[in-house]
Formats: sequence, C-alpha cells, structure tokens
Amino acid sequence: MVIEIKFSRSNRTYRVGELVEGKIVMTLTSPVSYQKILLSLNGAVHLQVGGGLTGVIESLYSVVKPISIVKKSIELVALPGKLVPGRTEISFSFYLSSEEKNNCMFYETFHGGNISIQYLVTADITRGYLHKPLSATLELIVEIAKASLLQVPVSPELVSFCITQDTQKHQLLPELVSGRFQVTGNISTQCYISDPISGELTVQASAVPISSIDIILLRIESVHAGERIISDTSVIQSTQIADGDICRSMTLPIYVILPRLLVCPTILSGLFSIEFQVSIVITFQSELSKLYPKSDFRTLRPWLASLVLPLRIFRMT
Amino acid sequence: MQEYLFDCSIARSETWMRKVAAANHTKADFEDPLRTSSAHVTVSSCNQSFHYTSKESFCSDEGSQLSKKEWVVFSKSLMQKFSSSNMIMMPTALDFSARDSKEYIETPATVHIEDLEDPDIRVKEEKKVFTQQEYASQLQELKRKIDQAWKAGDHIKALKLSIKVSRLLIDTSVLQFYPTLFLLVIDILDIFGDMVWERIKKKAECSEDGALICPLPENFLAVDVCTEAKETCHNWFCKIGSIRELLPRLYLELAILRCRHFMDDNHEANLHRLTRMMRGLADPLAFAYCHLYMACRATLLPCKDYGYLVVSISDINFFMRTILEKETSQTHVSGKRKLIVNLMEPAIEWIMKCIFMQGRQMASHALVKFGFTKIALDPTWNVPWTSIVFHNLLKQLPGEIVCVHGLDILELLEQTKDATVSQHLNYRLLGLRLSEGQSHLAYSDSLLRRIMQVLSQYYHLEEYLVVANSYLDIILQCSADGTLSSILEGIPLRATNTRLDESELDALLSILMKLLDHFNSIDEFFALEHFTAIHKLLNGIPKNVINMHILEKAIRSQSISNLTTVPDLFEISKALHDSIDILNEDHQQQSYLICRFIQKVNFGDDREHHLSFLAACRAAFSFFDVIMDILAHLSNNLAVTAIKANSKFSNFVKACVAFNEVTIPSISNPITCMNLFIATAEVALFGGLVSHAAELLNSAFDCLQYLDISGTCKSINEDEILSVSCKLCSILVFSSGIHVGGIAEIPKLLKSVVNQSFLPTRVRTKILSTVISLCAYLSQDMLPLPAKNIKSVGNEDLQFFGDESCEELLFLTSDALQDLFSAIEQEPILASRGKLALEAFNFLIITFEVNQELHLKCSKLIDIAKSCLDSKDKFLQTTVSLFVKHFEGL
Repeated sequence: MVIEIKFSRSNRTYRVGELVEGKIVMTLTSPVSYQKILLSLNGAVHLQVGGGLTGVIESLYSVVKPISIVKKSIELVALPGKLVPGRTEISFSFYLSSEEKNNCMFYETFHGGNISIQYLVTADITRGYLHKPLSATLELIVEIAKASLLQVPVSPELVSFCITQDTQKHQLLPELVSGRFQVTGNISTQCYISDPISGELTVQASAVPISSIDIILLRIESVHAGERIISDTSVIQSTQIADGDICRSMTLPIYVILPRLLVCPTILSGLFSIEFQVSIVITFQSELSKLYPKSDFRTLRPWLASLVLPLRIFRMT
Repeated sequence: MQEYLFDCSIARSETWMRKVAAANHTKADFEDPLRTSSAHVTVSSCNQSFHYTSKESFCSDEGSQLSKKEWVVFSKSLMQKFSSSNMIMMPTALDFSARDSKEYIETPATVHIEDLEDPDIRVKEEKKVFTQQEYASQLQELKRKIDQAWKAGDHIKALKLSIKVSRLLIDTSVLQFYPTLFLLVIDILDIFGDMVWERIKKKAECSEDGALICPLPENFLAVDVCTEAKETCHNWFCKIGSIRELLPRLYLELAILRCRHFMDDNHEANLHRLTRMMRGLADPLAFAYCHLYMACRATLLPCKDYGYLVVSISDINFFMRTILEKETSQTHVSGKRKLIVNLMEPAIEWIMKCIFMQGRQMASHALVKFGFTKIALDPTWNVPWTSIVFHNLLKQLPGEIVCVHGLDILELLEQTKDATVSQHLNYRLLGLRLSEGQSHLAYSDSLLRRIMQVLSQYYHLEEYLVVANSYLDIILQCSADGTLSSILEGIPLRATNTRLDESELDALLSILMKLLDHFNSIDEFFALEHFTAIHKLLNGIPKNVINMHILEKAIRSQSISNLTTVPDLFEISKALHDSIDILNEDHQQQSYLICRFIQKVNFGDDREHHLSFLAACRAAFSFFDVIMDILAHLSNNLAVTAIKANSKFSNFVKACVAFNEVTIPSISNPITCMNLFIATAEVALFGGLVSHAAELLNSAFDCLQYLDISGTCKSINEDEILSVSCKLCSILVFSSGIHVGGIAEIPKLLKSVVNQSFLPTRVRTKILSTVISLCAYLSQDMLPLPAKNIKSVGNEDLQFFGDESCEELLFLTSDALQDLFSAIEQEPILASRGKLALEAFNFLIITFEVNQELHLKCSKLIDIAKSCLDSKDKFLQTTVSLFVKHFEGL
C-alpha cells in the first residue's frame, strides 16, 4: 500500500494566494474500505532556543510553543467507500491562503537551526477504529508573492569597505601589525534572494602572505522567549574567493549565490526574527594556524582579519 | 526532481548533519593529492592508456570542429611535452580499492555536508603513492564510477566525485605532471558537464515520463526552454555555487557552463565574471590552466564575444609580471620559475589561438581589444607585455597584420625584455612572420637598419645567428648586399676560438642554405665576402650537408670552368671525400656528386691544366673506383681531342696514356680495368704510340689472366666478360702483331676463360665463336687493308708471324670447335640448345670453306637443332634450307 501526494509543480513551490493543485496517488494491492479522505495544510513556525547547546537554566526555555500560520483541512471524500486494488488517483486543489481573517501572516519556508518555518500537506484516509489510518505527508514550499514584510525598495548601491590592521579589534599576528595590510572593495548589503551577493575586493598590500579570502554568510536567529531575546548566529555557507597569496591590486569579483531554503527574506516579527550577515574573512599564512585545524571563521584568531556587514535579503516582487 | 528532493532533505536534517560532519572529522577531507617523492623513478606513459572521450555530438559548426581537431593535437603534444617521472601521491579517498567498503554509509546528505557545504575539515589523511600510470588508471576508474552513479540516477554522487576530481587540480606540487593531470581531470569534468547538459536538455524536450514532446531546435534560445528545465538548470548552478573552495567551484561551473544556454542568451557577463573570479587563484599554474579550461568550454556556448579571452591574456600577463618581479636570488628558484613559465605557455598559446581562430572575427578588432590602436601598435595596457605573452601573440597574429605593423612590433619588442622568453627568439619570430608574407615590405630599409642595430648588440654567436637567419629572406628579397655582407662579417667575429655547438651549426647551415638557394650560380655564391671564413666554422654533419648541396648546385650548371671556383669545389669535394666513413655509410650520393663535378670541369683548350687537375683528383679521391674509371675516360677524351685538334700532340697524348697507365691498376674490378686498358690502347694506337698500346694490351691480358685465376669473378657480370672478350678479339684483328707472347696466346687464354664453369653456355658459345673467327682471321694469307683515310698504324706494319703459328692456330681452331660442340650439348634447356646449334651453324658456314668436314659438323648441328626444336620453327626451317643450299655442290 503506497500513498503519495503529488503537486502540479515539480518544485512544490507556490506563492501565497495561488491555487495549489495536485493529486493523491494510491497504489493498493488489496481492497481498502475507508470512512473519509482528508487533506490538510498545516503551516507553523517552530522555535527552539539554544539549539541544545545551552545550560540548565536556558534549557527550561528551550522549547517554545510553535506559532501557527495556517491550518486548514479539506474533505476530499466525505462518505465512506471502498478503494479497489490498483492505482487510484484523487485530485485536489486549494488556495494557499488562510481561511481565518485574523493574523494571516505568511512567512517563507525556511529551515534554520533554531527556527524553522514549514508548510506540510497531509493526506489522511481514516478507516474506522479497527484499522490504522493511512496517511502521507509532503512539504510545500511557500514563497511570499510580495515584499509584504519590508516595503523598502532595494537599493543597488554597494557598500565600500576597507580592512586594515587598524580596523581589527582582536589581537593580530605581530608581523601584520608592524607590516600592515590593506584590503579594499565594496559589497552589496541588500539583495534579492534570487540574486547573488556581488561586489569587488582588492588586496592593496599585505606584509604577510594571504592564505585565503572567504565570504561567509551568517544567519542570526532570534527568539523572543519571555522577557529575553535569545539570538544564535550560525554559518550558512562560506565561499572562497581567493586561494593563496594573490596578486596585489588585482580586483576580484565577489559572487556568492544564496543557498536555497537555508536563506529566506529577512524577517523581523514580534516573536522571532531571522536576519543575515555577510562576513569577509582574510586568512593569512601562519604556522600557528596549523595548530588549530578545526577552527571556524567566527573565532577571531591572530591570523584572521574580518569585517562583518549586515545583509538584508528581499523577495523579488 | 532529484535536485529538489535533495535540497529538502538537507534542509530538514541540518542540525543532525552537523553532528555527522563532526563525527566525520577523523575521516577528513583531502588535500595535497600530489606529492613528489624524488626517490622513486618510474616511466611515465600514462598517455598510452589515456583516451580522449569523443565529443563529436557537441560540435556542430565548422569553427568548433576545427578547434576540436586542433585541441586533440594540442592536448597530445601537451602530454608529450611535459611528463614527470616522479611518483605522485593521491589521497586514499580517491583510491577505490580502499574505498568501496565504506560506501554504504554515504547518503546524499553526508555527501553534501562533506563536499559541498563544509569541506573545511583539514585533517591530514594518509596518502598513497602512485606512478603516473597508476594515477591515470585510478582516474579512469573514477570516471567509470561517475558514469555509473549518473546512470543509476545518483546525480549527487556523480557531482560529489566530480568535485573530488576537480580538487586534485589544487595541488601543483609536481609541476611537470600538472598538464597531464589537467587533461585527465578535465576529461572527466567534460563528461560530467555533458551529462548534465543532456539531462537538462531532456527535461526541456520531454515530459516527465520520458516521452518526447518537442525537440529543441539546433540554435535554440532561452525562451524556447520550459521553466522546469530552467529551474533544474538554475539548481545545478546553485549547487555548484555552494562549493566552498574556489578552484573546484570554478572548474565545475566551467564544466556545466554550456547549460547557461538554457537560462539566458547573453553569456558575456558570465564569462567575464568567471575570468575575473580566477584572479583569486594564487598559484600560477592553477591560474593559467583554469583559464585554459575556460577557453575550451566557452567554445560550446553560442557566444561570439571574445573579450573575456583578452582579459584572460591580460591577467596572465599581469600575473607573469608579478612572478618576474619577485625576488629570485637563488638559482633553484629561478630554475623553478623558468619551469613554471614553460608550463604556463601552452595555456597562453591556446587562448591566443582561440582569440585569433580563423574566421571567428576580424583580427584587427582583437588588436584594438588588446589596447592597440588601429594606426599603430601602442601598448596602452597599464602593465607592459611580458615577452612570453607577446611571443604567443606574435605567433597567432595573422600574417598581413604582422606585415603592416612590422616596425611597431619591432619597437615593442625592443621594450619587451624579460626572463620568460629570450628576446632574440622574439626577434626571430618576427623575422619569420615577416618572411611568411609574400609581398615586398615597403619599409624594409628602415626595418633592416633597425635589425642591424639589434644584431650589433648580440655578442653571442647563437643569438646572432638565430636572429640573422630569420631576417635573411627579407634581406635577400630586397637585395641589400651591404647588409648581407656586414651580417656575414659578424659571424666569424663572434666565433672566436670556440667550436660551434649544435644549435649554432644548425643556424649557420640554414643561413648558408638560404644563400646557396638565392644565388643563381655557384660562382656568385663563392664570390660572397667572408664565405671562406664562415665555411671554415662548420664541422661534422652540417658541413657535409652544405658541401653536398654546394656540389649539387655546381653540377647543375653546363660546365665548370671558372678558375677560382674549381679549386674551391675541389676542396669541398675533398672534404666530403675525407669525411666518408667507409664502413658505415652509404656513400653513393657523395661519389655521384664528386663524379659529376669532375665531369663538369672544363678548361677548354688548356688541356695540360685539365690533365693536372685530373691528376690532383686521382690523388684526392683514391677511395672511389668509380672516380678512377671516370678519370681514365676523361684522360682518354683529352688525348683524343688533342689528337683531333692539333699536330703537336704526341707528348700530351703520351702524358695522358701514362696517366692512365698509373690510374687504371688502382681499380679493383678486373673487367673495368680491361675495358679501360683496351680503350686506352685504342687511344694510344690512334695517337701512334705503338709500344704504349702493346703495353696496355699486355696489361689487359694480365687482367684476363687474373680473371682466369681468381675466384672472385663470380661477382662479375657474365655479359661484361662476353663483351670484353669480344672487344679484345676485335682489337686483335687489326693489331695482332703487337702481342709479344705469340699470336696463339690470346685465343688460348680466352679458351681457358670459357671453360670457367660458372659461365652460361650462351656466353661460352659466343666467346668460342669469337675465338674461332679470330683464329680464322689470323690464318688468312692476306690480311685486309686498313681504311686509307686514317693515318694510323696498320696491320701491314705489325704482322710478323710464320708457319708454325698457322699450325698452332689450326690446332686451336679445331680444339675450340670441339669445345663449342660440347658447350652446346651441355645447354640444359632444349629450346635454347637448338637455337645455339643453329647460330653455331650459321657462324660456321660463313667462317669456313665448304668441304666434307664442315658438312659433317654442320649436319651434326642441324641434327641437334632438329632434336631440340619444333619442326615448324621458322629459324629451323630457314636454316635447314640454307644448309641444303650451301652444301649443294658437295
């Protein structure tokens, strides 16, 4: 007995307000009688605090009640009946919108560390008390049609930056401090989710050979738990743009494609927020770095120089 | 669909995966796949086992067809040019013999975390040492695995493996192996890219269940592609975009670059971006070869723009500059740098080739992009050209453009001087490119003036020769004699007391050949200033080569009579003769040339001079019998012309005959000797030198004796023996008296020759017939008179023999007849036996008087013939009737 849900779009991506069409495909080996067939859509924001890494006190807060976005169910077949062996298909369609008029705030599908926004479509075949109900679940990917959350137009301007030993607050290698380095460039801090982060970067000077330059995409998930706001920053993706001690004064392009699903338009809601940052990390060649092979870019080591900039992501209208 | 599912699965289980990744730390990533280990030496022959995958289905237009063929040639030469004998290390992650057992735990999710998302796990991994051959076969195995995974629908595994493969290119530690590695890797990546292309194409053309809906046209546009295919395509680019490391990301994007075609029609921006992204590769080899790969893959896109290639070149140029500027005090560093530059050159060469690919665009446009204005070449680049980049530009520039801008290029060359390519090679290239153009250069005067200035700076002979050689065509074309002689003057000046090395010899040889070709006659060539000095510099094989060419040229003229040329040629021939290694070489060509030269020499009436020249030749070319033969003939010729021309010849003829008397015995072949002795004897008789003639004939008889005794005659042609015997007999007809040993001596000797068993019966019967007729002739009472109009010694002066001789002759004749009969009977083939018998019959009836004895002999012959031949044979029938008629009266 196999029950599958199939959407009309193979990428399962729908925008709010659109008609979702699909079918339930049942492949049966023996006849099955049922009471009714239900299809339900359940969208919710699941929140978690601390990601399981926190202490005893925080663990008390660690599970926060999910915030429901949408919940509706459709009776596809209301009267009891019998399914014959073989392949049976039942079509369905519904509008991706909330039936209730109140707080109908859709968010884009997002899978983060502490916050995940999921829309699940479930098909249930109830079979009375003696039989286990048959069901199938499939995630629906939701995109927001309009920039409903942030009505700010995205400016195409790039933010200029200049990274030198003086802009670094942490301790640097002594050679770097005495020998100086300078990396300049510009980068977009506002971008559409479908567009890459773009910009340019030039190593003007560096006393210590460069080992790598990376663009790190960071995610800040904040959950309002009681009185407190608990934020967690995590690395989504790091993209190397320079490997080795590159030529000075040669301009490199910054081109980072935003990963699907791990990134969503920036959300600032009353109960939680999802924000992004972009960090430019310059790694210098150093014997010391070999002692810490597992160090990640967020720990500021003496052989690293970095610049963190906020990144606002929008859905193209 | 597969792609989406995959993304979702990651999304759902991200936190879980992080743990997996942490657990995998010990397993680790790969780095440094190549490592040198100089202790091991292996044979590098990976190119034998490595086959290029055919990409025919992807190239539709002619331009790309051309470039594909060229690419195959290019890649082959690349692999042959650079090969390393060192052992190479490969991470065990790629070694499948060790890998297979682990594979069951790999889900797409772990794969992603390991390779796509978080490759920053750098824990040293054990490495295996491979030879190149093994390394290549490992990669072949990987290729197979990728193909297998793809066919099984596991696209992610295929991608994962492709990333691993591309990551091998990060390591450039075994420099010489890098080009081979590059070719091996891109072969795999190309296949991967093509599989992705096919997949998306199928998506665009077929419905979900695989049925063909509508095939895409040959030159489709992005609008023709359905959204779903576009989405899938976009997903692939996203997936590859999430690879952390720059180099694998670039290579993978280039591998699937062609798929951009599904998404949009404007590819320039992407190509430019990719080019600029490569600037992040700090390793010069990785940098250059990445550009090379792009130049290869971009040809699959329908993009006519080539600006990105120009950017590639300018970036490589910039990079090269920085390499050059780096401190290089230690020699091993500069040696390594040289190697790196050499390894980078193929990339530059190919990209240049792509830019100027035939018919792709107007070359002048490309020049403008390079920063040249249309009127004159002027570098407006912010970084000056490095000579290696310039060298390759010059190599690929179309000929007409080189010709138009020759002077400007020269000026640029003067400014471009660095360690990448020696400047003189660039001058040489310019010279060659300019010479290619058929048209006469309008500015050749000023060009040559500049070149002379350049040449004057070179004190090293090789550089001087190389540059001079390349401009020689132009110099000769505009017949700038002054320039030529000053260039030639420079050669001996620079070759002070050192033996020339191979490359110098080659260049010098080429210069001399060009000059030789240029001049109409050999006299002009020898008249060149400094020729002798330059010629002296040569040695070894190049010297022989040029000497042979000089002789070839010389013998093409009607005759050689110039009194200065002859000694020069004589010296050259002598040098050639002396250089011959008797045992090893095939020296036919040399002897032929010398012979022809000697024959062509003509001093006109100055015969004395000519004879002394011949004498000199005899002394010089003692090695060749052929030459001696010719010398003897020439001396006879001289004597005859002297006799014909004038009255006072006797001393000269004597000298000629004496010359031959000395010359001929040095020839080893007795038949040749005999011929020459006889010929000289004739000349001597003609000149009235009876005693000389007698001597010479005696010598000829001696030779005959020698022939008789020695067993070496087997190598001698029997026809030659026949002809020389007949000739000897015939000369005896009119000079029978001169032989001192008695008249019957000669026929006796000849008879003994005949009895040599190796001679075929045909020859034997002929010689015997000749002997018989000679005897018959000699036994006449009255000898025929010589022609009256020739004033020469005749038989009446020479005859002196009595009756005893006659008896001897008679005896001889009957003996010879007997031999003749037995010879005929010995002939094994019936038909020829019959013929021989008939011939003998004909001969007998004209030689002897009709009598009973003759009738007996003749009827015997006829009987033999009848028994051997068919009765209808015409020859037999006529002969029988003649026989009947001849003996009618009897």
